[in-house]
Amino acid sequence: MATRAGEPVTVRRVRPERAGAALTLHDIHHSWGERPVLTGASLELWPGSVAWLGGPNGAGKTTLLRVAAGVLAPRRGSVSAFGLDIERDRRDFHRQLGYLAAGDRGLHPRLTVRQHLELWSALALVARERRDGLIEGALARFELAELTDRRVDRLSMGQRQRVRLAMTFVHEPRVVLLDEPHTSLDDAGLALIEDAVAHVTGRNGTVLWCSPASAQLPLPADEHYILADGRVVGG
Amino acid sequence: MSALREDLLAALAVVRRDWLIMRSYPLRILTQLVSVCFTVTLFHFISKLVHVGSFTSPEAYFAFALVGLIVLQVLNSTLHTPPGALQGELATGTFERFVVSPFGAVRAMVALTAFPLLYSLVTALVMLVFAAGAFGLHLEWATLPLLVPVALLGSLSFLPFGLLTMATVLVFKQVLGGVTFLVAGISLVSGLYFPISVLPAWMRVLARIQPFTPAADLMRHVMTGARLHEPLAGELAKLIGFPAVLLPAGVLALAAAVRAGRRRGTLLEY
Repeated sequence: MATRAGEPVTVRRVRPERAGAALTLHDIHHSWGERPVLTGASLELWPGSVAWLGGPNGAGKTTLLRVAAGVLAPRRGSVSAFGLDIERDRRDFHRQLGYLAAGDRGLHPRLTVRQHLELWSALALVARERRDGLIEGALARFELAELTDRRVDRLSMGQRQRVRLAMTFVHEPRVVLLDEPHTSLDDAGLALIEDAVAHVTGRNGTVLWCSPASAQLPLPADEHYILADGRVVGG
Repeated sequence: MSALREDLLAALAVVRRDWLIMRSYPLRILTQLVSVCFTVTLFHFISKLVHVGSFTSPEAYFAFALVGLIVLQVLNSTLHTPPGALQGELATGTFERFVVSPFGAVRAMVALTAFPLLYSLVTALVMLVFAAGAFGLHLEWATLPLLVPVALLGSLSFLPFGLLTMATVLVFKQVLGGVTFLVAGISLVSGLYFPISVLPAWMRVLARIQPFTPAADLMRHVMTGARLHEPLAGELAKLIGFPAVLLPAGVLALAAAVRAGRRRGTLLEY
């Protein structure tokens, strides 16, 4: 069922730590100062699925994604991926994770496209013997092969976004969190994400696509959620 | 692949990244090396003015001050450069990638200290070669190979202070002014430019309770044959003891700062 912002939605009741879930966010609470942003947000994503999370500006989408990525520790609640707890199994949790932050940051202007992928695959603890193959795969998937030795400060904004996406997907994560990934991308760029997402779900992974409006979602999602009043609704 | 090997390879990738960025500014490397040679030259001429009992000759003071300059290079590379680099990572958003990687923010910050340290050791070598070649610095060849382990021990003993300043950056964001003040204070009390015997008694106490004085003392001893101010065992015990106690403390401080930042939501702020 596709649920768009403004339409009636039903609360999806989820069981915490349900076995088999690719990603589980359970009863997440977080405040910025005195202002509560997340007030019991729960979400479960299944292997092989794509979900869209929407909501108005300031609803807390990025906050929820940061909690899911381990950048933020919630005041209350738990996060797990394929049964790995984000606090207890942090290293293995992050091996499974691909996270694209919103905006255009996180690049080293003086490094080339390939150097970025080499760095990121090393930080993702990819075994050396697998690294070259994965990097070539990411370069091909995001059509960066011709730009491989170009410094990123000499790329267009759309090309930089493709580099950021390649860094997100290069280590073949099974849980991918995308915060407004469509930024600066043309139609061809959006099609490249669709292919990368299909590659993740084809390996029984899951993808959470976060953007204010579902019109920005270029691919069919299995679940549509809205973040409203600090809770996730829809499904 | 073992966790340690994975971490070493990831740390090497961070070092390689820092080298690639540095290499992309070739003029910067050149000007830095020329700058340290100018400083060595400056102290060579200043030493010609020194005719005091503490030093048998102007050349003796030049050798003394040169080691002080080298220690200062290493000191800046551990205390000043890593927190500055961390501020840069926070501002450009690259720190976030460390946080969401399995390598992790704490290990990444420890890895951030490696390149500046290695670079400062290369700079120190350039200073030494330049001083020997241009001004005939007397080197004690018999003990000179010991410089490598002594310099490494000295660097390790400085490192915890760098980790602590990085933890402070994560919590307070802007600390470089304080670090400059700290480095100036350390260079004052640890006898980098003059013997600590000229300091007032209360300042001499400060000279004995940190690792910078024994590091400079031992380096002078192995490089130029200068007399040690304390027994060798005591100097070595300090150089080994400080990192043994303070390195774990520094890593714990980094981990605590990351935890606090994640909890308060300030981890990525700059």
